[in-house]
Amino acid sequence: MSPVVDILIPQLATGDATSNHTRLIQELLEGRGIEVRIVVERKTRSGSGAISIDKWKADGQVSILQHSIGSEVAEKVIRRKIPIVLNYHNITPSSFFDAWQPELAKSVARGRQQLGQLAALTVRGIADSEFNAQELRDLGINDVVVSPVLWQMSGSAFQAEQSTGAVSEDGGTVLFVGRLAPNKCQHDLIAAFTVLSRFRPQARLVLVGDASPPQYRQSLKRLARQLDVHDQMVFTGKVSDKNLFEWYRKSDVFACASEHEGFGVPLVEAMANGLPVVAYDAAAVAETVGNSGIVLRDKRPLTMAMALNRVLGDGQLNQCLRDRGIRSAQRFENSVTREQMWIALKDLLDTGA
Amino acid sequence: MPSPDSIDTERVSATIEAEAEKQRRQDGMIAQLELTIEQTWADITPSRAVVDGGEGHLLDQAASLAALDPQVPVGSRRGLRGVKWLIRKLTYWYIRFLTDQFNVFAGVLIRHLRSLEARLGHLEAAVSQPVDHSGPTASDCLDDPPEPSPTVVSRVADLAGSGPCLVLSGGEGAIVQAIGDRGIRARGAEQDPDRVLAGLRRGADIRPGDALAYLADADDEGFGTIVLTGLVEKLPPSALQGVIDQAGRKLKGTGRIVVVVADPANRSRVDSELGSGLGISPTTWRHLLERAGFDARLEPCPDSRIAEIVVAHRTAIPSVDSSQSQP
Repeated sequence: MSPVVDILIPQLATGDATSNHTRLIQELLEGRGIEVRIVVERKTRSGSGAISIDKWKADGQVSILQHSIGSEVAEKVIRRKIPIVLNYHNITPSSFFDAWQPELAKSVARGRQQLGQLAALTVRGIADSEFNAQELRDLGINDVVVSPVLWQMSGSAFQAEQSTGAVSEDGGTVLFVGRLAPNKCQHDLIAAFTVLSRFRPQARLVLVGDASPPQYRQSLKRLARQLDVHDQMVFTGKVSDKNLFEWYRKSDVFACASEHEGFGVPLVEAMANGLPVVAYDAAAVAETVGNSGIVLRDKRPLTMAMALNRVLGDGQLNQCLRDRGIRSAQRFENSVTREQMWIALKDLLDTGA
Repeated sequence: MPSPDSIDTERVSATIEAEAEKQRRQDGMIAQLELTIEQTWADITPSRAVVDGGEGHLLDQAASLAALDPQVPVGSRRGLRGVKWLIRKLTYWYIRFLTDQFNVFAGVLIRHLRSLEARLGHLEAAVSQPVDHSGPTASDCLDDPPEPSPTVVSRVADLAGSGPCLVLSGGEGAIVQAIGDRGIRARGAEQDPDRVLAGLRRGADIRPGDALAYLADADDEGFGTIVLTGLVEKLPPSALQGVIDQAGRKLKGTGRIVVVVADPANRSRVDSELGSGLGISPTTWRHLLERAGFDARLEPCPDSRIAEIVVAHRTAIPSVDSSQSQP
């Protein structure tokens, strides 16, 4: 009889890194003959085959909890004292949301609180990055394995189109992909872009991602209008994988001013698509980017603008970052990370092999 | 031209940061633009007072409620979610109308207040020039210590122990480079962007920014040698004790601190008056280091400005009990 693994996640959504990661773990384990049940707090159209947490019996051989926010699934695990494999994606500090969306702030604060309680029930921690792993160790979890987020992108990642290096003198498309959220600091990107547009009047800033909270998006648009760069900006909202790939392909540089990233899937996607990265050094960003991008310790508008201008204008640097990015992203290629995840889990699963 | 593979991205980042800082200092327009951007965002960002104060204004709370995302997983039961969504939608429609009216009123009020403020500012300027208390102090007029002479650089490099080595402040990188030439991994931190750029140009690993903040952010027990020079000549003795404690934490068990400073007693009259109370002599450095649990000695240096260099290493692992460090 094949072993059964339960993967617990608040909800399965589309275009969400943790949901995609969960589906890929399911695919990985099922490919090895293991039965996988997805357990959710709330059923969605994309997760129609999942079991509701209320009907979960916790009778699987291993329960893997995907933890990145306060949730009922975590609450259930804590109340019933169920031993788990804690797959930790980090929790954004609530302070980022206090002023914007107090309810979300409470939810992430609850997630932090639950994390402390989950530590005692964790038989193994699996962290996306060394940054996340250290947090788990600080909570007293000794058995922690680093295994990056599983992701797979449609389109031809890991290869860049033939490039001439630098883009034209006054143009260039600056891209960021990620929820429009205070911790992602898209307002800092607009600030930097305002300065960049002095050097490159025809440059564009593209922000791909849904808003959470909606108020933040409204404020970003207002900021762009007041700084008079609104006409040079595109807010795409949520996009399909196909369109996302198109944005990566059409852009010239990926800029990230985020102050909290437990891993940073879009950074890897950008590198895989041959997009040079300019990023602010916060949380796991430097670890993910390595020496494949320009990582800044200062993200004041002029500094970021000068970095973007340099990458856009310096053909040699541009090409170097593109090449290194593609090589570096291969560390996170699906076949590599699947193997890492399997190594992280296999001794817990009695497959009879 | 270097090959793409030889590009050191950390150095590129440091160069960009230093160039930006230099431009910020030279170009008032850019500095002003950054301030304007910051102020614009501050005006848009919702006030934390609503959250911190607990109560806040009714309209703030209502606007916040109206903007809630019903998709956020907050643990509601399925049956309640539909009701919650409907209530929020209705609240949104009604409150949106009220807040729009209020915002129009507030916008007009703020415009008039700003106009009044500007007119008062003009009036103040016409009546008298206000005294600017934010101007430079006497110590700000004290020139930064000059770059070390080749003699000092060579002597410091001889006295450096194991790596990695951190030089604070790194200046134009002469010490960093000399230590590096002896096969020890060395890095400096320097606040003056001109010096950082000069250092980077000569190939030294110099990071821009506040050198003391750099020390504070560094990993504990991360360095074999810490060289203190430059900026420490402009710090008061009260701050130096903190620098020594900080450096001690960042030093490996067998590491050493090398202090390269001029004796304040030998300063010119102008410098001694402007820098009164700032900096201490090598002898006093030795005393402070010994009090902090180091075995310190003075090494002679044949230089007109730096006559002695302090070299200190640990005699024993310092106790965590702070009372033991009291005299």
